[in-house]
Amino acid sequence: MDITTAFYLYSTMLKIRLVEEAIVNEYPLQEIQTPVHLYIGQEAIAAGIAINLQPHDFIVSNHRSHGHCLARGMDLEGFFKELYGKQGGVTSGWGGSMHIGDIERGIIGTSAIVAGGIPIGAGVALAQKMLSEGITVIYFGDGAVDEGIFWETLNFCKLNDLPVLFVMEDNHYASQTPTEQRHAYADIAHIVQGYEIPTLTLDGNNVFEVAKVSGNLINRIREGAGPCFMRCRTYRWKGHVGCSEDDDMGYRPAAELSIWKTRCPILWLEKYLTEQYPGKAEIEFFSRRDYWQREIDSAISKAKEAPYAVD
Amino acid sequence: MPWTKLVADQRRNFEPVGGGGCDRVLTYGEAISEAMEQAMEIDPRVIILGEGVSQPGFIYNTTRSICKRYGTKRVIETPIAEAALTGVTLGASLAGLRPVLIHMRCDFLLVSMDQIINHIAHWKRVFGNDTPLVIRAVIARGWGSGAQHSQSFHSLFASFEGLEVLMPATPYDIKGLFLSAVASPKPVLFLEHRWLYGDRDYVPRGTYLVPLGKAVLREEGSDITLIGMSLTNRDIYMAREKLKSERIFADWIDLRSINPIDLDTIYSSVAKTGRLLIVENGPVCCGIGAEIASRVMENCWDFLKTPVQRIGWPSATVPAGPELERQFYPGVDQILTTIRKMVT
Repeated sequence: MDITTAFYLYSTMLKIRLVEEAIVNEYPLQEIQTPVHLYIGQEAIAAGIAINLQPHDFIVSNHRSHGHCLARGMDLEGFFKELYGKQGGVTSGWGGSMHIGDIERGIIGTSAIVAGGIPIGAGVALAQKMLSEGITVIYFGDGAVDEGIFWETLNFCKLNDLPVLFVMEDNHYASQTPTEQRHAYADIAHIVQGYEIPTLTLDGNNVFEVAKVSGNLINRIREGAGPCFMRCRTYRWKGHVGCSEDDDMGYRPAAELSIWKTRCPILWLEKYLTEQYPGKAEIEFFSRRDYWQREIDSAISKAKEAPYAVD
Repeated sequence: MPWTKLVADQRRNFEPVGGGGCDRVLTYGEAISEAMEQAMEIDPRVIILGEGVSQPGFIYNTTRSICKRYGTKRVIETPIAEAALTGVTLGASLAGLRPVLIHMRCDFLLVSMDQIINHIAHWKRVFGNDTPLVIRAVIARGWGSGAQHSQSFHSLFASFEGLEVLMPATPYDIKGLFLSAVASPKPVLFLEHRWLYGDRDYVPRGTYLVPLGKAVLREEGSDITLIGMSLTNRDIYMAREKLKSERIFADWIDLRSINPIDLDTIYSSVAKTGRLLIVENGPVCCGIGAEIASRVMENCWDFLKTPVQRIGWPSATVPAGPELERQFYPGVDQILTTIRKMVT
């Protein structure tokens, strides 16, 4: 990975992390009155895929969409205004955290019905195929593949060779229910491969791997290969919804979260960059953190000052 | 935009046979077939999706001509996956197409309820983007179609202002309303009735638009207002000769649009007649007739001479056996009996 790209990936992941942490800090004030599904721990997936997208490509996401939308280029101020229910929010106060979108920036929208956005992404791809322009990335969790509509869409996309990248963020829990209690099969990749859809399982916490694999698959899709499927193993640090780590609920083994925290995608990249570019890396880390923190603080204060969205 | 070339329809009167400044007769089925073909001709963004659209049968022969003319690229055969296909239709509309999804039975809409309500009906309000799509579904009746093949869900979808619901009753209307539906930036649920497919009417050869959200006054009278929708207009049509012989003259309103309801047309008629009977093509309980009755009581109370009455199906479960079916559907006799009670 070249140095510019590596630091760009770092910057995108850091932006997402700092935004989510800002929400955690602000949430107790109860000015953000919308259920939030935080992306902390999964940043490498959104960042790694976004660098392979072009302006006419689209993404469709789900309830845990902050990272996908921010990586795709959603305006920070519009994002925070939406969380605060203020005028100028990306969905004008009608969406909240679970329904953000900006079609001008390649974000079709987000559905908070599990798997609800998946067929919509396929429809976007159908239009793209007919209009000969662009591809669509559909983000969903491992819970979404429990839904019939996921399989219906997978079949339809293959049948029509639609330009879709299916991105399954496998964080092992659907709300609190672990994979083993939901899937009769051991490995979804085997089943998806049965549709003759190119399928890859990868470390979703390694941003280089995500960027490389998604880049290859997206190139194949652009060349007309039809849909491809990525299963990214990852882990969410926070609870399904809200800002706590919800360890007290008892559904996650005690050590599990702390083990995954040692595999933090951002720390991993910091370590790599420090080894590769000693001296320069630390300066870059500081300046990017400083930059994003200022941007975020400014967006939040503008959101707080803005008038509430009214009909 | 190609649609701006069309001129809005000014026609107000129902003429089942003869006249209308038009010399060509089509059936309801032929009219929708022609409407789809012309929509695809006018606008290359129009595509057709559905299970069976390109197979022998051709959705009661309504897709045969477009298959022949436009082929599989724009007339897309699909798996039986109503839920996903409804989402695909939404996505395609967001990304620049004007898709039309077809279901052979109205009942199959329920499989895709999440996409229709949670997604399509709310999309514009939440995300601000237009979703120009049409979902055609055909209501059936008789020959033991029963509980899952003869339901009529117009009322179920009428709560959602983000979704237009249409029920064309004549060949003229089905063509003009379909072209309006495809031209509209809003999502439209287009409910046809299988029993109307053979009905004949004068239908202009060219393209024309029948306005969305507007009822039509089919006949004028001062004693009572009758509201029909889809097939129940035929019952009202058949009842009216008998009524005239009894010196009872009715304002007959064909609702055409279930959502939104053309309340202005209804209010001005009720203000004149003081009596209102709604003939529902579906269960009476929580039907669109209940909503109309409420609105009329809220807005026309001083004009009402007698309580608003409703006729419709006695239950939501449609029976299969022939005698049960015969008893289940109200018809001309029940309309006449109810009107006589209201007028005297």
